[in-house]
Amino acid sequence: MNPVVFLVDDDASFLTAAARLLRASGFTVQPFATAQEFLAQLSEDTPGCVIADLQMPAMSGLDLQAALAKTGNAMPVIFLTGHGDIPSTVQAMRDGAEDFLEKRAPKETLLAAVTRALARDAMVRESRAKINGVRARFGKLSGREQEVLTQVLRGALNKQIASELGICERTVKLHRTSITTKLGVHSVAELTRLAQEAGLGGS
Amino acid sequence: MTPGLAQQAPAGSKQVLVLYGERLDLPAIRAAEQSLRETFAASTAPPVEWFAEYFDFARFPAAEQDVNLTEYLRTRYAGRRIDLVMPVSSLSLRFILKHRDNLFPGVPVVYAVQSAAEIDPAALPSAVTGVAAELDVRGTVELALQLQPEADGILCLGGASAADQDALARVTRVLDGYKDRLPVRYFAGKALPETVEEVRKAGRNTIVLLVSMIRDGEGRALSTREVSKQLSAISAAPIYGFAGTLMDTGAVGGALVDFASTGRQAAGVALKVLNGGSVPPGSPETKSPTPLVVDWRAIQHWQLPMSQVPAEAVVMFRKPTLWEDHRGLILGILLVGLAQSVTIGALLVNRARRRRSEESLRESEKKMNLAAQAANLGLWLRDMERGEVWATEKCRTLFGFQTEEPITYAALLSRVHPLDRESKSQAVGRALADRIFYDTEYRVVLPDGGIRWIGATGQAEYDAAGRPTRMLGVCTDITARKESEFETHELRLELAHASRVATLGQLSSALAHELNQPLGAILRNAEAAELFLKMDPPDIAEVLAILADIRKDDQRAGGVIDRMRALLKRRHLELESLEVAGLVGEVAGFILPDAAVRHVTLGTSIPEGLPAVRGDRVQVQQVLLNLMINAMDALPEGFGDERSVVVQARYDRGDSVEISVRDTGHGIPPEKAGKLFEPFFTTKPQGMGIGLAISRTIIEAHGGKLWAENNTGGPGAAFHFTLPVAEEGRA
Repeated sequence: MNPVVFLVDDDASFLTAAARLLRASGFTVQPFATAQEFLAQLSEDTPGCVIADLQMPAMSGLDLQAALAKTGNAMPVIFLTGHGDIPSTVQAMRDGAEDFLEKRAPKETLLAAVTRALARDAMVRESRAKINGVRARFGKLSGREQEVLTQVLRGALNKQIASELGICERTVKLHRTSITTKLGVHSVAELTRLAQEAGLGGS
Repeated sequence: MTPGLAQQAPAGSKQVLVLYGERLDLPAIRAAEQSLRETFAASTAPPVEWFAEYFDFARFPAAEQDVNLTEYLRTRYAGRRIDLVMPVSSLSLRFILKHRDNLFPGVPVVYAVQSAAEIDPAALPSAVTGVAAELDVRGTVELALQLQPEADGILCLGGASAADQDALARVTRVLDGYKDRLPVRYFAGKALPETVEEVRKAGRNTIVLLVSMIRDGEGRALSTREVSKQLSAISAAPIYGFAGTLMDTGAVGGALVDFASTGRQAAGVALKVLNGGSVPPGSPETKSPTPLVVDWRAIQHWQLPMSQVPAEAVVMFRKPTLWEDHRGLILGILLVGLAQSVTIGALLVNRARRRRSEESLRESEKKMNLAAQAANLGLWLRDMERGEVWATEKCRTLFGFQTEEPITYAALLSRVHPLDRESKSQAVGRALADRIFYDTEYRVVLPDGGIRWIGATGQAEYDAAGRPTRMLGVCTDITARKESEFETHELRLELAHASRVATLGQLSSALAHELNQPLGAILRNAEAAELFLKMDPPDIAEVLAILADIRKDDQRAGGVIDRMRALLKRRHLELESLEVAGLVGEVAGFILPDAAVRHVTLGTSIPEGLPAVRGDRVQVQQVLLNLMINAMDALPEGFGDERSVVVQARYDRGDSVEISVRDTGHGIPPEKAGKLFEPFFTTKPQGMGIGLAISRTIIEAHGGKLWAENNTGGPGAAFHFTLPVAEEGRA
């Protein structure tokens, strides 16, 4: 899916102008006059980034950022401001703003910020997808296999696992073979790394 | 060197070159210059011919001017024999120490500087000496602490020039020693308007230390004296400093460097050196004193304890009270008055002896009149039981009574200006209760409608039961003094315009936002157009659309600037027919960004079919702007409450339209309602208290009214004003 640059600004003529520039520069752009309209249509899986005016009536850029963080699609936010005032800049940065640009920042700065934001979004999505993939693989393990896996990750020897789970050592070995096959790993080290990626405790 | 030229100087005369580090228009330099000039001019042994250069290092830093200046001095004085060089200010001393061997080899140097600390007498080259005044930082700070024992912090102000920074560095070293006692805050090298704003915001218990400021952070050429005047006019706290030029600016004072005496002393040392004498640097005659000096008026203004002013301090501009001025005379008169009252008493009791008593009365009256006239005082005696008043001719004139007209206390009180009656009665009441002198000032409305200011003092006598029987006192005309005080007041009013500019300053972030919107759109459009033109084939239709948009945004930006300029201008009424909805809409648009940032909901409710009003667009908008900003300021902090400002308009028939600005704020406390429209009344910590007074003036000039009331059945207040319906709009 093509990443989308979501442009949110209550100033109609700036919105049109900025959308034109970004489109002419090769980006897919969706303009919105208010933060509410943008949030209402946002789907969970659309990749992209947001460029939002900091000062908007009703729902400001900071409010938008906060609301976006609560959705399942927390994409990077670039703030635009007519006049950079320090308290809001600090607040925005603290809340993880991708970038903070003056409305009249040079084109190169704007385009570079968008490219950077999209790249970061893609990276976040990729690693999220990877984690999800790894988790899915762990999900294929049977209950007993997961028990064995937990012991293995703790560093227990086959003999200890067997006595802990009340099964014979040979069965433990069979489970281990099945685990490595299902997860497609070749060593305990690789297994540990994968488990860490999936967010499972390795220690 | 051309020998012919050198001989131009009169035989036996000595030639001195004075190098001033700063501009001549700085009061400190002027003071030093004058005393140098006077001392040299008076000198006959030897006669002195002197030259002067003003380098203005504050604006033209020495580092950048070094080559030019040395070249200039070399060329200019090539044909002269210079016998002595006098650098005035440490920057020009530094300059000459660096270049003496090059420019004036071996010529003696006598400096006059205000900072002994940076001169190490031992390190000076031979034939260099001079006079230095050591900044007595401790002296000033200790004075401030004595006058303000409750002080909760020091705000230290400095300028941006090298000389300013030098001075500040020295002050900082000493202030470091006070850090344990008081927090010290520095505000230095900033723009003057920012400094003014900082001082305006300072708490009453702050000690404001103005070190020196001959250039501000934005390159303005200033003088510490001028800065002190400006700061004193608006400061929320007393100001102290180190420069002798601070006197008579509104500052309280300090251990002050007297530039005139430093100059005089330096000229004296120079003469001694010219006569072959030697004055080693560091010897007593090279040290210029920094006496403690305070301005009595500033002490009074800030209600600082006069008793805490050290005995050795010089008190300037002390204004004696009527009592202090004439203490002996008043006491004498009161004694005579006592005797007099006995006579009057006798007179009242025994009508048979009336004629003789009257004669005796006239006789002593004449004596007293003479004494009183000498001091330009009027005398009076008030019989408490009968309510009768006896007064000298002068006193009658002061209150506008005829010579033979009987005076009662009620008649006297009726001459007192209605606004002053209360305070006068209170002063008299206090004096009666506490058995003390009263000393009061009030206005008298003369029968011809004229106003006269009276200063009066008096005391009562009591009978055995402790009841007051008589009051005796003196009064004098203080109109002239009051008028000069009013002139100061008028000057303050001129600040009104300045305050309007300051209000705009507060709005500047909103303005920047408003301007950056169209400018940003223009920029983005232009950049997009470039890309569309580079396409193959170029997208001409899109570029045409872009150009139309650019034109539109350009007009929008121009509109913002026009509105801002209109607000900044001072001018007379330009009446025209105005649509209320458009008028309100424009102002609302103007402060919308500000409102958004402050989480204020801005609403307008203008009924359709409202007749047009007649008014000056800009001025009426200024009033609306002022009321709306006030309304926003009145809203409580915090986001839980409803924060809204609504502008409504109403037309009931008749010939005016009523426009209201309603907020959901604190409302107007009843005790403040009466004062709202007085100039300088403000409930805002940073307010000047001028906005509402000006607004009312504007509306009244339009033939309308402006008033305020609290909302019924809800929080907040509403400000209403009326404007006349335009002729063509009348139904």
